[in-house]
Amino acid sequence: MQQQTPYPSLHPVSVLRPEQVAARLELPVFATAIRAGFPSPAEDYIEHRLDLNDLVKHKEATYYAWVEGDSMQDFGIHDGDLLMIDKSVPAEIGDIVIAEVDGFFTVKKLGHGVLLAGNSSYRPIPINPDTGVLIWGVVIRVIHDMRQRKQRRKL
Amino acid sequence: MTVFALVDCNNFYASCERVFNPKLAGKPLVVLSNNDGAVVARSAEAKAMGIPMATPYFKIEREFLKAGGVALSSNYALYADMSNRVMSILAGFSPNQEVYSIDECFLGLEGFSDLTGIGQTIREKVRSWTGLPVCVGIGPSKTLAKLANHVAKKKPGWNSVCSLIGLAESELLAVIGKIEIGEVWGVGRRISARLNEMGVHTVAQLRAMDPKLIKREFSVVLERTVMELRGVSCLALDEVAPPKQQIMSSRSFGQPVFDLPELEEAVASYTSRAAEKLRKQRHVAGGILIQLQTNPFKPDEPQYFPSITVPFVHPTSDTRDLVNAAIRGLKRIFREGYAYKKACVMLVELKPEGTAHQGDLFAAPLKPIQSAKLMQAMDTLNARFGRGTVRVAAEGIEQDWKMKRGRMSPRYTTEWQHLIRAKAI
Repeated sequence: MQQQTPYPSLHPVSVLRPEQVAARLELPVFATAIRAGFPSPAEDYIEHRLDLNDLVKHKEATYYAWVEGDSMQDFGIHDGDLLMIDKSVPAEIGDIVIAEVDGFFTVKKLGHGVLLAGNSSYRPIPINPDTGVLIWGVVIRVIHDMRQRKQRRKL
Repeated sequence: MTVFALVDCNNFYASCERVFNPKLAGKPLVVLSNNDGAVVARSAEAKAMGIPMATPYFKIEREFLKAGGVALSSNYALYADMSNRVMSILAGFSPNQEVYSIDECFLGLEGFSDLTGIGQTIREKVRSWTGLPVCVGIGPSKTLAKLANHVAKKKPGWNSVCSLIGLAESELLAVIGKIEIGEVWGVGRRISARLNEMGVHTVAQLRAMDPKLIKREFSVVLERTVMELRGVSCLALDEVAPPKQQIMSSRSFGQPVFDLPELEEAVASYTSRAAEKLRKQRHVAGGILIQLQTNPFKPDEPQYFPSITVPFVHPTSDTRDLVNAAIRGLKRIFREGYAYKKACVMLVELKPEGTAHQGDLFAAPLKPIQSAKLMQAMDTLNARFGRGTVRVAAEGIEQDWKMKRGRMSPRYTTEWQHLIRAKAI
């Protein structure tokens, strides 16, 4: 039985290499524009295929997370989005980060001594020894499913 | 001069779990073996509680939970992925790497001047990229690198990195001299006991022993250990793991199994897994051993621990031959009236594929080519669509005897549905 979740169901990945734990999307790249009726077969011009994994700079440090909630919508991060996280890059002010707060992971924008939400109904979380906030990694990309959102609005 | 580093993840399984679950921070944590039977990994807090390795969990459960402890089933998919990440990061520090186990590896570090600095860089990089803490031991031999790692891990003041390179004899002895010989790589309990009888208790004493005497009284292996403790490197990096001499597949059942048909399914399934491993290392097996066990922790139940080896006329790696033999063996040793807890299948007398063997005048001729093609197709399908997609019918469909892993954490890094959840609330 497939697990019921609000997220798109993908094939289970049984291989454990981090670079393979990502959707494999390969698109051919053509070296020249192709005119209709040109005698040479198009395949001759295929140079290589693009793979979204090329966007992963540090494969050993790259992790993924699902977003739950609407507190980051002003920054273009929505409920159900997929986050690509790089643990190896140091967080800078203004970065979108994954932080540990009260035993949970949260996604927020890093401000000066504070975690900021992208939604006026949420208050900033101060970073100090009392709150025990730890930065876990830096969000480097967001994958948003346009179609899934549309369907959800219909419901 | 040779320079080896031994990089070792601290409390590896427990640390992996903690990376993805902030709620586990600071709590005593144990990871349980297959079937939630025994403790196989402990966090520092659990160690501090005095929970020994390999304790059956039911013996400590009440007290452990009362103290706020958390027990998890082993999540090997997660550990394997994290291990791959660590090993891949470490490979960036040296072209010479020997992955020694899931959580430790040797690196050749010749040519670096500031070895402690390199050690710290390794430690910080692994920590930052994976969240896992590691210790680094560095020495002129693998045995000394291992011992240095022990110092880095156990002794305060080293900041998790200990290099023995360039130390004068007196400095070296000050660091490792008083360590008990039981901590030395390759010195087991039995050898320790015999050395103790001879009055040898510490590393300093063992180093001072005459290697010839050690060779005569013990073995050439221990002689090498003595030389390695003196800084003479005798063991090179094994960059490629040698093929296994036996392949074992064994698990405990989720619930006791009483019937032959269910046991047949389990044994067939374990045999198929073992056969896959066998083909992967391009070997054939000369025989198969089948073992059954009842539960020794239930002394009032009748106990039975039978085992049988079925030899092959023609060494084979064909799942069908292996399963047939395994089932025949199983039928010979099965007795009714026992609650079986565990089955074990072991492929023995392994040889590389294509090694000539003496034929048997009376045995049926083989069709090796079809067999190889079929097995290749089976392995490809199973690799592509998941383990067990194609299997011999004897493995059964329901598999009620499957392992119990009730406390397993999500496969955070290898399954889309299991990724961490980032709260935007």
